[in-house]
Amino acid sequence: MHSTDADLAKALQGILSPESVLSGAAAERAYDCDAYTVDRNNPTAVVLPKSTEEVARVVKWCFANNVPFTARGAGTGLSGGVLPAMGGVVISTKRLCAILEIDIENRCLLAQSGIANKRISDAVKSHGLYFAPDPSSQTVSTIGGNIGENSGGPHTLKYGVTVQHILGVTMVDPTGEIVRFGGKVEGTPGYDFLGLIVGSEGTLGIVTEAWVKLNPIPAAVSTALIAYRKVSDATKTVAEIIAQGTIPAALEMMDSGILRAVKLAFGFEYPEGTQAMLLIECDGEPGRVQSEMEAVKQVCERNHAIEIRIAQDETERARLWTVRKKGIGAMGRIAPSIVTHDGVIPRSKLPEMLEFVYAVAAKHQIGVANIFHAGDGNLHPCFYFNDRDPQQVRNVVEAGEEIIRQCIALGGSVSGEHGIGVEKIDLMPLMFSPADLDLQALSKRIFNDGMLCNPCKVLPNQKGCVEYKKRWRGTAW
Amino acid sequence: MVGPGFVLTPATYQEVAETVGTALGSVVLVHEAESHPFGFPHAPTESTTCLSLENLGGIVEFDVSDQVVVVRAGTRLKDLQEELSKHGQCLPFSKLSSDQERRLAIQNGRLTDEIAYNMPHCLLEPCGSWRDWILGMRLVQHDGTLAKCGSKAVKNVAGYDVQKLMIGARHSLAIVIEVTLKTYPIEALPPSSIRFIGTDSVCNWIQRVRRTDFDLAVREAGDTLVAYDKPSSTFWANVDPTSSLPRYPDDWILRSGTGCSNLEFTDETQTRFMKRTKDLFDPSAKLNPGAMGIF
Amino acid sequence: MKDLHELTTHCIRCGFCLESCPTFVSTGSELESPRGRIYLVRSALEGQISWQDDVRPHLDLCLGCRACETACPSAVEYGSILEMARDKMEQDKPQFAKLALLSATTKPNMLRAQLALGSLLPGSRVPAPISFLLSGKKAEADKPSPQKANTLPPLNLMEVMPLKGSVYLLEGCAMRVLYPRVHEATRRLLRRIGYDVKEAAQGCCGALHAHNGCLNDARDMGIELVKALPDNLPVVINSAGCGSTIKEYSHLLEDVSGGKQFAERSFDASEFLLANGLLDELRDAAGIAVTATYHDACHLAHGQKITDQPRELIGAIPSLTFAPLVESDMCCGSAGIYNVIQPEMARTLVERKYSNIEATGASVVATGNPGCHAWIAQAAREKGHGVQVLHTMELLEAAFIGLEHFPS
Repeated sequence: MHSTDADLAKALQGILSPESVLSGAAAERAYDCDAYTVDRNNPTAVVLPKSTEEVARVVKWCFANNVPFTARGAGTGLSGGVLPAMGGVVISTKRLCAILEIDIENRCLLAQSGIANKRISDAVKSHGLYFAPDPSSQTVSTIGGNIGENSGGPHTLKYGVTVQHILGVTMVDPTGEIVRFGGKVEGTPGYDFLGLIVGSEGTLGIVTEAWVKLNPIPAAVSTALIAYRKVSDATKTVAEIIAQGTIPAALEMMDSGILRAVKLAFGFEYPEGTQAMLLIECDGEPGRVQSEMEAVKQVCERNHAIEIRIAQDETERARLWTVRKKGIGAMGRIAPSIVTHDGVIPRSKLPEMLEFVYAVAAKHQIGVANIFHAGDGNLHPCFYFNDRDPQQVRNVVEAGEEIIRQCIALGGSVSGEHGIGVEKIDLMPLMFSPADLDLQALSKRIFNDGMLCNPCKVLPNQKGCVEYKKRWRGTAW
Repeated sequence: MVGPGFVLTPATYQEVAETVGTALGSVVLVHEAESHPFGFPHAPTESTTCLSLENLGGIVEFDVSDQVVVVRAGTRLKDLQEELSKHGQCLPFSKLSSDQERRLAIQNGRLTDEIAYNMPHCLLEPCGSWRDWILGMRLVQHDGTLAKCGSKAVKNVAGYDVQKLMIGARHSLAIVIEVTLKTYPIEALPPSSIRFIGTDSVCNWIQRVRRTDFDLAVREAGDTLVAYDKPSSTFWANVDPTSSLPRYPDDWILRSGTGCSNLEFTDETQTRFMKRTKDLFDPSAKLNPGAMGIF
Repeated sequence: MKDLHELTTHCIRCGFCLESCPTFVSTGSELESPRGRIYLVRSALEGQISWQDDVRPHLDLCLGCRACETACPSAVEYGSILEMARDKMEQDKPQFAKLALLSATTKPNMLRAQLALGSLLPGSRVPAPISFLLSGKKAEADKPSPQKANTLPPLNLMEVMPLKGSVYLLEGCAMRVLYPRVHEATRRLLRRIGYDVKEAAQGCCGALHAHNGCLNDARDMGIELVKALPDNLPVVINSAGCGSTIKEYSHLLEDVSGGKQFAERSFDASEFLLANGLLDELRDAAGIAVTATYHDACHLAHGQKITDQPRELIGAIPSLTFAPLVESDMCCGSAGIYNVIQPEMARTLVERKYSNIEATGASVVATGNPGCHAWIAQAAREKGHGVQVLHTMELLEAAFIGLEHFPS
């Protein structure tokens, strides 16, 4: 390790240019965490390279000098995936934002990894194409970050998650070598390294460029918002829709906590006594969309829906979506602090899980509202509390753990789309045996055999992390 | 007992683990027809342990409302499909006649082999492949360690996706003994766009190209063509083993009857990392040696 | 008064503001982002880092465009945080050159005198010594050049609506010196829908002071303005920056009699004209056969959430083709006195803005703020491509009397 922080920053300035290196108190603060703010740690320096080659130069230097490094995109992650857990260098991709090639005919596009997800769709919209994965953060979160976390979004039910939309990557491996996998044609025989890299939370290297798949924008879209007096009626609707073979583009559920917040924040009206709402979207060929929506409507009516609103135009469609998209934000307006959790259960267990969430919140005396990607059993309980009350903060953390334990007990997963990062690292043994974790560690070693590239993430009990963890765990309170 | 001609048929996960763990020489998974049509002919030696999962079949768990099935990897694909269909579910392979299946070299083998060979099918574009359907796995490692990866959740980002490495790995990294799969409602199955040419020829060459090269590639394939699927830019052909069809940027091929060049690995990075992976997962090169053509 | 620390804690660091922030998009640096700045302010308030060394450079680079407020799902009041933090730093350690510039710009007579003096100096840019004093850098902005007054043909009162009321027109400080033609167009449009402008001696509204962290000065100016425009008449404003601040008098002057009401009776000109029947008048106008686009002034789009009204009016001009502008609500870099004190960033942003404007193929770009007007017009001059920059009011009036009366 270099003798002082100033030395390290100076060395990096020599490798790149002075204006590509940030250091000092302000930079240390600004880059000490992502949107998961419970754990924070200062980096020693931040670099903003402008090309894959510059990234490689920095990584090579870090590798040679035994300095830990962590790649960072927009820093919108919700599990602390870009926390500089051992300090060292944060390598930001935010000066790697160019689209390098658009191949409309082959429906793919090559972009640098720092570009925001939404800008990809914007760039090809006029050609009737778009990039399907749409995490709620898509206006800001980078394609590199989406690859790291294998991000989902409300439309993954029909269109799949990020891994299904990445055709190839250019990556700087942990030794500083530039490697490329995949290309314009899917399914190349051989070991599926692309499948391993997507979702590896930046621990296998730094993805600097990606070939992404483009999908045709659906010819027709129909969106409905359905109100229920009983939560179980809503969950039954979900199960029946799926069982009858309809695959809606989105199938989302909001409970009364979210509805109250949306009403308060945006004046959104809904029928008296509504306990749950479903947002269902069908898309595709116009005829098929209409028949699918008709079928959906029948299921909803059968399950005692008290109101079915179907958007008549684009403006109304956008308004219906605000309930879903701005639901969590609206929570922020009514409470000083919120924590959004992420767990998955088999969707048939939704009703029983929801009961459990309410019970846990009541036990810990904290408020809770729920948004689900109901179609794939991915739940986001959102706790609201006052973060300046240490007891409340502890309650929120405990409640979160209880919920995740229950997800596993019901045959689900500790994370559906937010990732493990540092947030859920101690929960991994609940889901995986030591042998399972060893197997994962083995696959990590294909690319990363050391402790420099985004250390202390994903896998628990890594050598050398325990001491560091004491430094940053729970620093927010 | 080991050696050519003698096949071990363990009936439990533990037995598979013990068999693999105690094997001194190589461990080869025996395919019904001796070897997969697109694999290489094995040449078992005196010390080879030949293994079949024929006694490791059956569904472990199936919840229709969750559309998730857990199944032992020795189950035949056909048997699984039949069982799923009783509940209106399936794995989204398109319905073909047995003659069409023969012509595309579709095996309907045991799941462990189907996953290991990851052959292109004709609903690739609308429905994806094993990579998209497999949610989790149990497997036996070279030293007999039993481990699992993934989960039963249809959406899961916990940990490294080790299961993806096993797809198409031809039993060279571990033996897959159980899979958790997403099922698909039969009613929602889209029609296949596959077109067959002629009536008789059987494919020994599968090629996938960019969309923009597809029409030309199909034209160039001429009378070697067995079938083609435009949405996925894939075609099946019957090509003289001593010759080959034109290649295109970014394309790939699978072929049979040409030994080690059945799988062509020309990319240096891919090859290097495959070797490294093999060294890590199977340091004594025990599992299905030679299966990938490069080690 | 709001509590600055309290305001900063509303940020949950989700980062949804990042791509809306011009300085973040240009630099990629978290330090030049709303989330970063809020966290720096909070850290300084908690004594973790130094105001002047660690926080100031990054707040100085902020345009104050408030695009982040539009993007924020949690309704964090970034504009207030910025103004209060700047106010705090200004009180601790005043930047005298900036204060002098503010004072010079916002006193019409002083501004006139300086413009006269300035025109004697060689070169088109702001003089180098002044630029170095303010920014330590080479000047990018041209010296301001005022529009000629009283150039429009007389309005035929026989053809317009009968009078139905009176309003005030905010004359502003720099606006009345630099853009008399915009005021003239606004008066004519008001008259077309039946309103005349009640004349009143008035001073600066304090917007530039508030945006630059001189809240006390801004307050004093606001109090004077409220007194100067009494009688509960509507106040029509054609400068987005002024409108935004005046609408926030409800906070700034919350304890001043008439302050809150003043805010409530203030309207952006496009807002007032649309609400009071200009659409009907436009339908019968001669129209202009041009392709036009519209740039959202930050303090209209983000400060006042006015985006539809100007578009609806412009879109109603007969024979006009409207071409949407990519990143229309991203700051052009003018931002009050920003292009004088942060010339490099301002240059980067106006280049980006102008190439987006060019890509629309429009020959006219309209906007609702004098700063944007001058800065984009300078870019157009430099490129020599002849894109005509007009205030929205000028373009609307041109629909009645023809574009030839509004030369660049």
